[in-house]
Amino acid sequence: MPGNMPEIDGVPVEREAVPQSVEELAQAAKEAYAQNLSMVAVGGGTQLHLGNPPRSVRLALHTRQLRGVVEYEPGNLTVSVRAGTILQELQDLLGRENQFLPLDPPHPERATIGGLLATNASGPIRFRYGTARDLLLGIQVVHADGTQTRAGGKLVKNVTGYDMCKLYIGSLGTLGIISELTFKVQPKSEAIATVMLAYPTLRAALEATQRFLRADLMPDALEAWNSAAFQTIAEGAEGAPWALLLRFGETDAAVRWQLDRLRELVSSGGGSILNVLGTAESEEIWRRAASARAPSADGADLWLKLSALHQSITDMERRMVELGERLQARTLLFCHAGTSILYGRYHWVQSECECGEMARAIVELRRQCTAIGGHLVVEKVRPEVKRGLDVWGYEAPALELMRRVKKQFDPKGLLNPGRFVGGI
Amino acid sequence: MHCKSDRGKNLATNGTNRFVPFVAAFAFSRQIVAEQRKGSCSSDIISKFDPNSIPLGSDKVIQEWLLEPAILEELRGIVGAENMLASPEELMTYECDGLALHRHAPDAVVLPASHEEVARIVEVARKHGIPFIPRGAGTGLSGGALARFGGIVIALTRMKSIRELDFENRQAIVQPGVINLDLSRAASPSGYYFAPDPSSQMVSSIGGNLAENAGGPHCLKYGMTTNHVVALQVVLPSGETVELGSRAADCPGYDLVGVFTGSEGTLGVATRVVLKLSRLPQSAKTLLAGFRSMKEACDAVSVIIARGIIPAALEMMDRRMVRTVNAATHVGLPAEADAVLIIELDGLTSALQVQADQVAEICRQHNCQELRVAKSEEERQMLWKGRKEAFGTLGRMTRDLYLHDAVVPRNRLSEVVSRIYESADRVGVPLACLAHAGDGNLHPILLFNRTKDGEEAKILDLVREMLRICIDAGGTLSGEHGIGAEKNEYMDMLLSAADLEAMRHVRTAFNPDELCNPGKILPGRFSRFC
Repeated sequence: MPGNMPEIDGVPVEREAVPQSVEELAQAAKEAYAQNLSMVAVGGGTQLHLGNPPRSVRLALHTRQLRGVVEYEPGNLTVSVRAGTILQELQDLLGRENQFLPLDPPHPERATIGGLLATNASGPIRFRYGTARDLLLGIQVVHADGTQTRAGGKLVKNVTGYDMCKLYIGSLGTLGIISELTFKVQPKSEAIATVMLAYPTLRAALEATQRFLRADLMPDALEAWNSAAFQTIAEGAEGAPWALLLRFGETDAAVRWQLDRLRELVSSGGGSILNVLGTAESEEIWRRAASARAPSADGADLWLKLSALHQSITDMERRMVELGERLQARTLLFCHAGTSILYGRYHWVQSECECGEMARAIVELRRQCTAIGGHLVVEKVRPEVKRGLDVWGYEAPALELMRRVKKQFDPKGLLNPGRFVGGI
Repeated sequence: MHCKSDRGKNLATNGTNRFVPFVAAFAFSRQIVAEQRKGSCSSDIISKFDPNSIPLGSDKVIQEWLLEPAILEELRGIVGAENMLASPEELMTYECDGLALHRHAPDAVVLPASHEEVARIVEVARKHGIPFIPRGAGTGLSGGALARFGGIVIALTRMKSIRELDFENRQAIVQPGVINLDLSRAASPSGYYFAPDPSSQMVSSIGGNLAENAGGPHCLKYGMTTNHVVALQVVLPSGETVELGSRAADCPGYDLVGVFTGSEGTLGVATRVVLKLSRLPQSAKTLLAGFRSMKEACDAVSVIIARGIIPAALEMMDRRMVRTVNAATHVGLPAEADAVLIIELDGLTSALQVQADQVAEICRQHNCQELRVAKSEEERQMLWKGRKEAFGTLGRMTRDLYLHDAVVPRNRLSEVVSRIYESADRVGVPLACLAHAGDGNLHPILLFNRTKDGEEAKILDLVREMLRICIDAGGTLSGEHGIGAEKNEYMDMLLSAADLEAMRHVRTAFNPDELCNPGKILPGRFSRFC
C-alpha cells in the first residue's frame, strides 16, 4: 500500500511505489525508464511545494523505506545514512555521542535526509556551519535508467575527480534519485546561549549584527525577525518591531565571554536585550525557530525566499512589506541576517488573494530584486498561481549550461520533469 | 592536415585542427629538449602517459608541434607580442608544473590581461580545434597544467588584480592570477583573511587553488577552497561567458560553482572569482608534541577530535622527517620522537586555554615525551618552521623527490603509514611522511634518483601499491593535489565504470570537444586525444 498522494501541485500522481531497498528502487527506475514514465522521488513530503508544477507524475517513488544508518564512526566525525532516514532520528543517534549534523531545516521530525539534500534545505545555524555543500562527503545515486553510481566517500578531504556531490545537492531530483549519503558531523558545543534583542527597524538590527561581528563575536546564528514572525516563537514580544536572535555555541567560558561582550556593545550602541536563554531553553527555542517560517498546516500561504547583498536587504524588506500591503496579507519576515536571506510568509485570515494580482505583484518584486543582483524564489503558493509564473525566476546564461547537464544525466527528461529552473 | 603521428591523426578527426609538424630548428634547443626528455621520459612509465614520447637513444628526429603562423598571429593580435611565447626556449618553462615527472611543451603560451582577451583566445582555439590549457602559477602537483598534447597554454599570471573587498558581505572579488597570500595580506588590516592555505600559498594563484580545490593545514577546521568560493565568471570551452552562482546567497539552479571548483581546468577558464572572506581568529595557540610511536600520536589525534575539539591544524611529521629537519635547520624538533604533532587551536581567547590544557593532557596520556607550547607569536612561528621547511630539507638528501598525496579515514592513519613503510622497505625506496593528520591526509615523500636504471619504474610501482593500501583502508586517490595527468589511469582502482561515466557527463556538458585541458582526470580511454 503506497502512500496516498493524490497530486503534486495540482498534477495527479498516477502510480506510487515504496521500494524496500536501493536495489528495488533501481529496478523500479529501470522499468519506468523502459516505459518512458516520468518519475518523482518523494521523501518526507515536507518540501513538495517547492518547484514549478511537474509536467506529469507517472510514478512517485517514495524513499521512506530506505532508512537507517549504514555506518557511524564518531571518532572520524562521519556518518553514512540511507536517503529515507528522518533527520531527527539521525540527530538522536548522533546526540548519544554528543555530536550532531549541523543542518536545521524546518520539520526535522518528518524531513528525510535525501529530501533535504535534494532541496538544499537549511536553517539559522548555516551562518556558522554552512549548508549541505559544506557537510556532504559522499553520495550514492540511482539514475533515470536505474544505473547506480557513487561519488566522494567517507573522507573529509577528497579531490578524486569532479565533485559530483555538489551537482546533486539542490538538484530537486532532476539528475538522479539520492539513495545514500555520507556527512561530516560536528561535536556539540559545551554550552549554548541565546540572546533576544529588540530594534526599531531591520536596518538597526543589521547594523548591530555588523558591529557584533567586527567585535569578534562568533554566533552560530543571527536571525532578525519582524514582530509578527517573532510572535510565533515567543510570547509577549509585541513591543519589538524587530527582534534579533543570536545563538552562541562554544565552551562555557567562551559563551560567557561573548554574552558579557554583547552586553557592553548593546549598552553603548543601542538596542535592548529582551531575554537571555541558557542551553536547554536555547535548544527548544531554536527547534521552534527552524520551523517557524514553514508551518505545516497552512494551505493558502505564500512563501517567498529572497536573497541579496547585505547593502540591499533593507530596501528589499520594505518592498516585501509593500507586497503584503498590496495583497492585504499579514506579513511575517524572517531574515538570516548573517547571510542576507529574507523569508517572507504571507498569510490571509479570511479572503484569498486573487491569482493574477498575486502573480503580478511577485513578478514586480522579482524584477526589483533581480536588478540589484538578488534572487526571489516562490517557495510555496497555490498551483493556480504557479501556472502564471516561474517560481525560480532564474534566467541567466548559465541556464543553458544547466540544460546541457540535465541532458547528459537524464536525456529522456523523465526525472521530476518541469519542476526545476528553466523548465528542467 | 600534415600531422605525422598518431596523435595528429586523432586530432585530425574533427577536421578543423590546424597543427603542423615542426622540426626543431636549433640544434641547441633540440639538445635541451632531449636532455629534458632523458630526465623525464626514460622509462615506459612516461610513455604510458604520452604514447608519442620519443624513445631515448633513438635517432628519430625530435618533432614538436607548432601552430601555423597565421594562428600565432591571431593570438599575438589578442595579447600583444610581448605577452606571447612560442620559441622552444621560452616554452620549456611551461612544459611541466610542480609535477616534473611528466613533461610536454605547449605550442604557444599566451598571457592575457583581461576576461575579454581570454574569451578571444578560447574562441581562436575552438575555431581551429586546438587544445588549450589554463594555467595559474604552475605549482600544481598532479600535472593539471601539463600540455599533454601540446596546444595553447593560457597563463593567467597577469590577471592579478583584487577588484573588491566587501567586508559587509565578507566577500572578495579577484582575478584568477591573484596570489593566495596577497589576498589575505590585503584583507587582514580590516580583520579578515582568505582561509585556504595550501603550502604553496606564497606563490600559488587563486585560479590554481580553484582548479585544484586546494587544501592546506588549516582546512581541518575551515574547509577546502570549495567551501570558500561564492561565484565565478567563466569562459566556457564553447567561447561563451557565463556567471556561475551569484554573490547573493543560494543561487537557483544546479551548483555549478561547486562542480567547477576542483575540475582541474577541464571545464573552462575562470576569469573572475568571488571568494568568501573569514574573520581573523581572535587568537591562536600552538603546541608541539613528540611521541614515542606513530600509533600513539595518531591515537592522540583521534581522541582530541572525539573529545569535541576541532583544532585549526593538526600536522604530523614522522621520524625520518624529524631527523632531516633537525639536520638541516636549527628548529630542534624532539630528536628521539617517532612522530611529532603540531597542534594549533584558534578562536576566542577565552576558549583556547581550556582546550589547550585538554589537548596537552591527551598528549600526555598517549606518552608524549616532549610538549612545547608557544608563548609568543615568535615561538609559534618557530614551532611551525620545522613543518614548513620539511619538504625543502628533503631536497638536500636526494636527487629526486616524489611528493605523494593520499587520504584515509583518520583513525586508520598509523596503520596505513606502517604498511606503506613495509612496502617501501621491501623495494628499498627510502621515504619520509608528512601528514595533515586531522584530515587523514598523508603525504609520503619518496626519495630516489631517476637517472638510475629502473628507479622510476620502481617508484611508480610503489605508488600504485601505496594507493592500493589507502583504498583498502577506505581511502581515496587524492586529498588535495588532484588527479590531473598523474593519477587518471588509477581512477579505475576506485571508481566503477558508471561512476566514471557520470563524471564524463559533466565534462561533456561543459567541454564536449575536450579541447579544454585534454587528457586529465578521466582515464585515457575517455579521451579522444589518448
